[in-house]
Amino acid sequence: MECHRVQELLSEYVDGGPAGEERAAVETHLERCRACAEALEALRDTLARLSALPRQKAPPELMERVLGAIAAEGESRSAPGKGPFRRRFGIPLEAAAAVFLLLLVYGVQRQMEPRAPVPAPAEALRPDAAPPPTPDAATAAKHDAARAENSRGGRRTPVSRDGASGAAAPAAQGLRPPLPGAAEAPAAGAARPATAEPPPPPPSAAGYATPPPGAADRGPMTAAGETPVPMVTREPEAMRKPLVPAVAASRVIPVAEAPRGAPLEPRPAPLLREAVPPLSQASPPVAYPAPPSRRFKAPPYGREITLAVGAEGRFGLEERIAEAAQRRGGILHGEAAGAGMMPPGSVRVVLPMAASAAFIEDLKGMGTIPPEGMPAEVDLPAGPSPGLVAYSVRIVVR
Amino acid sequence: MAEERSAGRPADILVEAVRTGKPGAFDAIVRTHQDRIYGFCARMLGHREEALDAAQDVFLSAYRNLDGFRGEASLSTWLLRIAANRCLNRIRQRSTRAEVETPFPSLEGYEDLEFQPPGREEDRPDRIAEARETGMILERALSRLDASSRMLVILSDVEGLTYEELAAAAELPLGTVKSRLHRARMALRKMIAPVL
Repeated sequence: MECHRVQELLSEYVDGGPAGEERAAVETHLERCRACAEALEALRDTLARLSALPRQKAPPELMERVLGAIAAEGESRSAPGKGPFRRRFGIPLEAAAAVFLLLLVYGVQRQMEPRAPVPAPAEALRPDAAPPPTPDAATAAKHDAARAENSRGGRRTPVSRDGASGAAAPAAQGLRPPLPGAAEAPAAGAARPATAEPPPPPPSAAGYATPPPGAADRGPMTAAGETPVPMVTREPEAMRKPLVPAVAASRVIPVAEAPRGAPLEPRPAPLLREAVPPLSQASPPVAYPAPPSRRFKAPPYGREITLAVGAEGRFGLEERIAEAAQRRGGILHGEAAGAGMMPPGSVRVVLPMAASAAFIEDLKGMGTIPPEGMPAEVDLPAGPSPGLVAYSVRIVVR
Repeated sequence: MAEERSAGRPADILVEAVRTGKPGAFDAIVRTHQDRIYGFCARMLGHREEALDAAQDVFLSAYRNLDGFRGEASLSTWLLRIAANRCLNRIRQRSTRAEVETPFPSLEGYEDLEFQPPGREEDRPDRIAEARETGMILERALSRLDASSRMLVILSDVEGLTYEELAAAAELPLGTVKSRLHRARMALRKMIAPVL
């Protein structure tokens, strides 16, 4: 092989090529040709010096500029990689799943709310019922309050036109029994007046009493000859209660059979297989959160660490743990990766196996890992794939 | 590249996390690759502010086009390809005169960078000083190469890409990459031979 051809192949030769006979020919020539051998050594020296050049550190402002530019692009860039669900429906799959979960929990709550019996509203409509009291200052105050509420654009509340008293006052009030914090039950189950008159329709589920027959043309909530009184609607307790996701529920109400009328005491462990007993009228509606086995489904891999901290070190600890994992080349492992929801006070991270020791040292800088809290070998893979380890860090406040 | 091997699997998780909109996922990508991308842009462009702009463009482009990352190459190689395109475009927009006069980018802080003599010998101050001086000579010589040659030498001999990765990053055929890289190395060697 000629020198000029060998010189052309020197770079490839240094990089491990060419293969086969061509490489052998280069090696043979280099053994005999001093000039080409010196050129090879010079090339190797240059490459060694180039590989020894220091890695330049990016200025801190680079990260700030990148993140600032991304934020300036708006919310629509929050999920740049659009999967099929997002492309089709225009919303992220996680948002749709969250909405579905909330609706499911709300439906379960509604199903499990107790229904307290409502005092019979028809009693006041009996012909022999006591005459209504004359309007007094309290009634006048109710009128004013209802007028004020209407003017604020609040719930539509009928206001007396003339303020005159009438038989409707106790009737309306009778139609608006004080609810003990429970949803109304159909009045059909309550005591009915033993009269020839048809019983009034039961209160609607929304808490508004339907007017007696024949009162429709006299305005809302009036009966013939009756003076309308303001009805400040009171939503039943269950309707007013905010929708609380099951994960945020702090009380777990037992489902064991309880003696009628006895107040229920919360117990720590829900026994879902036991029948749900009828609650007494005095018991407030309760929420039955999903069992932990369904909410906090752990992935089929990973190790557990217990991190004990004092109260002063508890604030923002989840974020610091996530940042420590990210500094070590890992990520916060969340629902999108199929890891399931995390119990409160726990953080799950995934990072390279090689960085696990450094990450544990980072954790020790934030609190204490008791001997029993160190990751133990279990019959599960360490992480979602070889070379990775997933840690579920459980936070305990000393 | 050892760093790429250790970052390969987490990079796939990070990319997927970014695609699903997980907060903080793209921060981790930037944090992992910013030194390499900035260093490449600094050596290509020879100007700190311009290198910052170019690196910012690289990560923004990556953020917008993450759907285009199919995983055939590593995330690092993909980012370097974007960086190579960005830098070559910027250089083409300069005048010829400005390119020749491009200063060496990081002389002001170059002395503070960690230098290791070739072969990782013991940490002797004289060898470190020699390595630092050699590095500055090399950096100057690199800045004197034409943009395409400079890109190939930096990606191959500074960043450690293989021929295949180099072909992917430079978007050139493998044979072309080999021959151009060889000529670039020879040109560089010719510049530094009288000094080193």
